Amino acid sequence: MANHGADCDLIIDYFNGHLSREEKAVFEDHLENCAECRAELAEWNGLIEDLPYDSEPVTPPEGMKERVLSAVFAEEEPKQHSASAEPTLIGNAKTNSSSPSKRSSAKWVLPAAAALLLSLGGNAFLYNELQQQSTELTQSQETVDELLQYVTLSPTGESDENPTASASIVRTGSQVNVVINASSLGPLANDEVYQVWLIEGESPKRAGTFIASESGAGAVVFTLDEFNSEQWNQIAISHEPDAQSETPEGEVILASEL
Amino acid sequence: MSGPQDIELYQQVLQRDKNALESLYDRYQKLIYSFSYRMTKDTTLAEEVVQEVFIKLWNSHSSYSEEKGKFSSWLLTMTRNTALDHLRKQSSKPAVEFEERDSLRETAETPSDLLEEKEKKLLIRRSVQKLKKEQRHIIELFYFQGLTHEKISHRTGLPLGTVKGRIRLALKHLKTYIHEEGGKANG
Ligand SMILES: [Zn+2]
Repeated sequence: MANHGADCDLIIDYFNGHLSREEKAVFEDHLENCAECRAELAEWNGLIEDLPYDSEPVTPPEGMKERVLSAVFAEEEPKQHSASAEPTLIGNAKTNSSSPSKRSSAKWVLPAAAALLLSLGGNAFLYNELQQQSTELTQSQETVDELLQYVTLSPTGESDENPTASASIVRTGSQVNVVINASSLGPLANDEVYQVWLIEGESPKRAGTFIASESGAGAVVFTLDEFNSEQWNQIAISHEPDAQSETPEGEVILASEL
Repeated sequence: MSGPQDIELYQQVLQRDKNALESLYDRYQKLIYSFSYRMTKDTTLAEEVVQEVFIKLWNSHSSYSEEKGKFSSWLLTMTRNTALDHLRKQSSKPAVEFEERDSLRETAETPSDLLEEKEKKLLIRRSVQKLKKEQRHIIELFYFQGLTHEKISHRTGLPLGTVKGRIRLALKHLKTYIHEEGGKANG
């Protein structure tokens, strides 16, 4: 334990989360043997009972509640009716060609919350903010998301509702998420759902199921194991009788080329 | 406290009860937002922090149980850690000193301010105000800005080896004042 004092000095950076994974492991080992650091850390953790209350009360910005709650609930897993409707179908249907690193042209690097913020849909202000921030964040290696593709889906049929939707394909670490955000959707009856499809050649693969709120809004985040932009040529949303459809049975209401 | 207890609401959140999440949101948004703003000094970042905290809560990425202490403390710890994450990502930006409170200051009371929370705020703020200026400063850098050991040393002009002792001393005084003020309030 020659290094004892030096290890004790890591406590500030440990508490504030500045240690690398290796340093953190070193300090956590040290904690096992150093009662003084354990006591100090317990005390610092206990500050959460007091110090946050020293914050000047500020009124949250207009509309924050709606934005936050819609982002929170947009995160919700798609509603599943049975095991056969597992949304990982696509993820399991791996591409047998090329490496996943071979991706298409323009990529934007976005902060971690990007996918969620993007699900706020028409909020052009936030969207621009994110793109601005992205340049500053390119050097941060931690949990940055990469927007691989962003498309707007167009209505395919003649419906009174005139639905709209966007799809963001975002890489987070080794995962690729497809974030769908739709609005002006028509009402659903009984077990009916909206189903997202990724279409490879002629064959559609299930890519997330969602229902619409009373106001006609719906969102789903769907995880792919990998994404190869050449694999999929279209994304579409159909109105299905239930969440079991393995191929589109109902009307396709929105679609876009990928 | 009126209405259901935090723990009851939390258990309903685990059952995917959106209304329960909304109740917790209403109960804590102002405290969490104010704390996030105090840490980030940026309205956009503070809102991102609030959003992330509630997403974590909704998706049970970290779980609360009563052995972990008060629910509010658990939620605030999650808030601080989330804010620290965001601050680290921003750390390439120049730091802004935050001594004078700015235009977001707000004194109007809202009905959602719990009495308990209000008393606590008064007690803590009175106690912090009793600290010497340099003690408040080191707590600001250490706790609210979550700076590295090295940056705290740099910003305060204290040698690296002295920083921890000064933090400890400031916190010891704070504890004493909280105890004194608390005693006054209860007597
Ligand atoms: Zn130690």
